[in-house]
Formats: sequence, C-alpha cells, structure tokens
Amino acid sequence: MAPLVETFHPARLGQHVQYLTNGKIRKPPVDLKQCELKELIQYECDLRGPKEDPRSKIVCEPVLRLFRN
Amino acid sequence: MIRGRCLFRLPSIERVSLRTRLTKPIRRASTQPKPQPTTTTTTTYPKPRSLTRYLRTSPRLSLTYSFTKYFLASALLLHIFFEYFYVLELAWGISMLPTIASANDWVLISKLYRRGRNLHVGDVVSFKHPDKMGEYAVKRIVGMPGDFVVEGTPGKGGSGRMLQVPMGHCWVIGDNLTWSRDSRTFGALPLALVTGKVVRVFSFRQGWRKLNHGLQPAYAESDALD
Repeated sequence: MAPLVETFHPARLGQHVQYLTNGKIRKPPVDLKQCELKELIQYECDLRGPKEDPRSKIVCEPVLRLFRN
Repeated sequence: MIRGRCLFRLPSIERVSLRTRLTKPIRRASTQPKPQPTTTTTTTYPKPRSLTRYLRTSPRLSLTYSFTKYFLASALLLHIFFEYFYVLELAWGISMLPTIASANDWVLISKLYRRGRNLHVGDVVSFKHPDKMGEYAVKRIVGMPGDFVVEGTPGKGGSGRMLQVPMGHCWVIGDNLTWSRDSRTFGALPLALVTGKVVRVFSFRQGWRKLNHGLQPAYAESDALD
C-alpha cells in the first residue's frame, strides 16, 4: 500500500519545491527556471479498426513529458 | 538374496579386511606365552569406514556421487547468476508499446539495479506488482524519491494535480499511456519491489536491441513554457 501523499495544483509547484520531503526548507532555494529542461516521449497507442480484422493497425501518438532537472 | 538385488553392492567386511595393508610386521609366536589380562572385559566396535573407501570399491556409486556433486554445484551457480546478475524473461502485454512489443519480446534484466540501486528517471525497470501477488511488471521510471510528478496523464484531463514522490518510492508509468496500469492506478511504487533494470530487448525478428534511456535534453524553448 502506497503511503498517502498530499496533492497540489501545478501553479504552486514553485513553493513546494522549496521544501524537502522531511518538511525542512531546501538550502539554497531552487529557481525552477534555472534548472535544465529535459524531455521524455511516451505514447498513446490504440488499435485502429475492428479487433477481429487482421488489417487493423496499432497507431501510436507521441506524448511529450517535460522535466526540470 | 536381498543383497544380490541391491542397486549398489556394498563391499562385505571380509573383502575389505583382506585388502588392508599390514602396518606392523607379523610377530611370530614366541615360545613363552604372553601374560593374559586377568579380569578386564573389552568391547569391540566395528571400525568406521570413510565415504571415499566406499566410492573406491563401487564404480557405480562413485559415478552417481560425482554426478550429484556437479549437478548441485552448477544449479547453485545458475541460481546465483539469475538471482543476482542477469536474467532473460519473456514479456507480454501492451502497456510498454512501442518500446516492448505485446508478445514475443524477451527482456534482459540486470539484477545489479535491484531494490532501486543506481536508478534514474527514464530507466525501464522490472518489479513485483504491488497489487497482484506473484506477478511482475515492466514500466518506466518517471519520478524518483523527492521528485514532483503529475498525478495523472499529462494534458489528458484528470485532476492535473501534482505530488511529491515519498522517500523510498518511485513513480512508474508505462510507455503506452492509454493501456497501462501503473502508479496512476496503484500509487508510488516501493523501491524494495524493484527486481532489476531492463537493459536489452531481444526478438527473433529484430535480434538484440538496446533500450533507449528516454530522458533527453529538451528541444522546446524554456521561455515557451511560461
């Protein structure tokens, strides 16, 4: 069973980043815009066409995930 | 006779005693009689024979013994190799499309990364499923302990809220976001359940191929995200 965690709106990410997991203030403070931007591509794949038809194809559309590192 | 039907004929005591070498010279009987002990009673036990002595006398037993010895040693070595170094497993399911095919793809798992050792965001890991007992799953790590991640699928409705991955846990998502049951379903995954990292994928049609790490420097402009 995963532990219960608090969720927050992405607009408040800048405030939450300033705290460590144990509740203490992070030193030095973090500026997200100064962190390196990275990306990870994942996909949304689905079957195009009827399931029984052998000519049906799986089509994957990319989904971009962005990270601050 | 029962002895005749035995699989391994054990040597009789008489035969063994005949083969023993004499360590002391035979003492000839002297003219004067030896003084006999008066009233002491002694108990004699049969001399214990070692295993090697049995094996020397029976070639069939020796063959069985050496076969068992090498079989156990090789089984132990294989167990250590598969449990602590590398293992090749057949993967099935559509949750990691198109990185890993839905069938007939084998994944080479490095056990050097078990329990979350030296793992990073973007690595594809194998782990014991937290909800289904006895089942294993393969997903990609999106968040390590202390990282902030989106709770649902990015840009696809949902609450769109974020959370911080708790210590000792990681956030795993399948590459096929539509058909994957991952941390969006069962929450943060304990690192203790991670059994290894997928380093290679093998299929008979494409051969060996290296698994891409996934996380790369972004092409998007940083200013465009404001």
